[in-house]
Amino acid sequence: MKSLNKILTGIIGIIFSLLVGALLIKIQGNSPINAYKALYDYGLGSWFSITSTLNNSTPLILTGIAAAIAFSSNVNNLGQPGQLIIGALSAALLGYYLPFPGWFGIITILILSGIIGGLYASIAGILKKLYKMDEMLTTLMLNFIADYLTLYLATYPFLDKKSYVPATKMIKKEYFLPSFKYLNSSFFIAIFVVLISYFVVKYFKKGYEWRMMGHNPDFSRIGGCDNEQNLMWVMFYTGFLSGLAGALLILGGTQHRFIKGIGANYGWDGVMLSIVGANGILETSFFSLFFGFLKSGGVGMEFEASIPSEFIMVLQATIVLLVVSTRSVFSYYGDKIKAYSKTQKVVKAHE
Amino acid sequence: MKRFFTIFCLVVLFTFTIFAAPKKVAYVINGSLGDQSFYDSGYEGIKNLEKDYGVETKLMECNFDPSLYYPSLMTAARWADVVFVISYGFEEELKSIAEMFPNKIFVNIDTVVEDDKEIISNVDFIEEEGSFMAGVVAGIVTSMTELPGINPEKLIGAVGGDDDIVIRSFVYGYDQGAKYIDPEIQVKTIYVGTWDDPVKGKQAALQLYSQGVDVIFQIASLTGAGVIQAAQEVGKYAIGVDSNQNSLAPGHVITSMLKEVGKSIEFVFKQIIDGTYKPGTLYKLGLKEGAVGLAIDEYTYQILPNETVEKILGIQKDVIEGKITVKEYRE
Repeated sequence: MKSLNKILTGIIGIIFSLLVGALLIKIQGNSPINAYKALYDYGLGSWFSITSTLNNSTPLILTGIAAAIAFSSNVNNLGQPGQLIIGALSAALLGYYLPFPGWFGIITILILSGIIGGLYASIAGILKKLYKMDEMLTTLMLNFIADYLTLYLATYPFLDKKSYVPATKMIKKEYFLPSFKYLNSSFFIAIFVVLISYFVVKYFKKGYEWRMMGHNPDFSRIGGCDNEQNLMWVMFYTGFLSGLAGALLILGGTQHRFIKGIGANYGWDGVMLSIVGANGILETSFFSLFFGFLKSGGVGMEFEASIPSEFIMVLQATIVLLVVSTRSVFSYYGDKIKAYSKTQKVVKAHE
Repeated sequence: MKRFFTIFCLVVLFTFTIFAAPKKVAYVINGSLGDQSFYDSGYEGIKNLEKDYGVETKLMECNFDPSLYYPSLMTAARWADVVFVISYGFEEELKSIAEMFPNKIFVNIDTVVEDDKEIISNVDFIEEEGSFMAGVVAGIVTSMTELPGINPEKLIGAVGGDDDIVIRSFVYGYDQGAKYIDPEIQVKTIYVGTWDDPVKGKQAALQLYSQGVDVIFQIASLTGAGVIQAAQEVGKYAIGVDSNQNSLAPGHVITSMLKEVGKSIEFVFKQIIDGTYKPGTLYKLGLKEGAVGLAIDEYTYQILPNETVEKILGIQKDVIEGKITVKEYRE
């Protein structure tokens, strides 16, 4: 019920922001109906559109639940972009140098890149544990380090000399994740990971401790949980998810190599998604699909209705704002109504 | 019978040419418009096609987002008859998409993408020749200490976007040009690592100026707008790139090294219309073809005396006539 509530308030917020978007399109002098028709056509209109929506949402799902798990455990991991890009670079390099055959190689690459992303996130955890440094700052700063480190590595030591942009060599053909009628199998891996994460957080002892830490860190400490240890675990696990997202971009996407800018905006979109999804794992994954839809539909809006592709970013930001505000409005008035009906009951019983 | 056959053939040929005349042109770029330089130059050419041939054109910007390269190009290729593409970073995708649409015309600009079936044509600019001339200008200006803001140090600078092959070719030619004027001139280069951040471009330029550089050649699309700002701020000089940027900071942009992306698009399209176009051609365009060169206008004369400009034009003529050979970075 609670989960449905989160999704419903989200959808109401999305509808409002689509209306605001229509207004913006109208102000620019384009037709909102044409624009949204193109958005639909290119996002859901055909099998090709549906698959490109699902492919687009694959990394978003993973970075989204990474942010959601971290935030719901009261760990401010804002390092998804950096962890993703580190994972992507590791996958690209492993994919080129690893000698293992086929499936075994793919699994090794995915797990190793995830672990590397997790270790990268753990740096912030260690700094917190040893020096009490705020993890929000350290993860944020680690993003810059990851950005420039990977750019350096792709421009100089691991540069593909034939490439016109900073990029590593292409990974081996046998490590490409197969596509079924345009739908890349990386999507199924992402869904699988979502289910695992859901069960870990919901039914495992560790997951319970994480959640309690999110609700009230003092309570969980007094209740006997090692908060510092749990923070390390959350950091590692969410970093693992972001790193895995990066690895899937390399093995699954269309590039099959690390190229400058491959992280796109997936990391920050993930943070936004966890806000829209109110830090729930399933809710965030659901809205990831919607953001993927916006991304693939945005191409159509640009092409058919000549609306600049930046418009989608504006729309995403509006969605985040309006979803959060609708949610607080709903809970505010919901609480009031509940309180009112309770008092009415009490008054009636008294009479 | 024979005559009938010839007439039949002519009719077929005629209808074929009518149907072959392309009506839809797409322009797919990896970056975004508004740089007043590289991408805008191409878009100007596309707009001219609309005017001159009455074709329908559409634009796809990818904003340097690799996840958009494939869907954008795919969308464009499905719709258009002719696709002009600036394919930095998605060369492989271009190859695979071109193979899906072997009957459409793909013209790749600025890089060389060769597919096995020879579907894609390429427009490759000989940047070295253009930037050689930019180097000549920078070399001459840095030794003219009578100009305001010029110090006696023989240092000139360049600010590049990424450290990649094309930008290296630019710097290679620039260095040759400067050394042609005075072998003691040193070139300092900073690769900023981004194409759309003027603030970083400005920082890089200020750094170079503070090290004693007095002329900077910007090769960085929108990032380079910051270089021109910096030149205006500290009262030194800059050289623009790709489009004519002389008017952006009058008195501080000496000249611009033109790379006529737009004109090359018009040139190739004219061939398509004439029927002389052949898929898989490599158009190598340099100073002689007018595809690269210097933009010399009233803003240049505002800074440099007439005889200096004439000297520069003389050197340009020598390069065109082959009296001076400019070495290419990629052989």
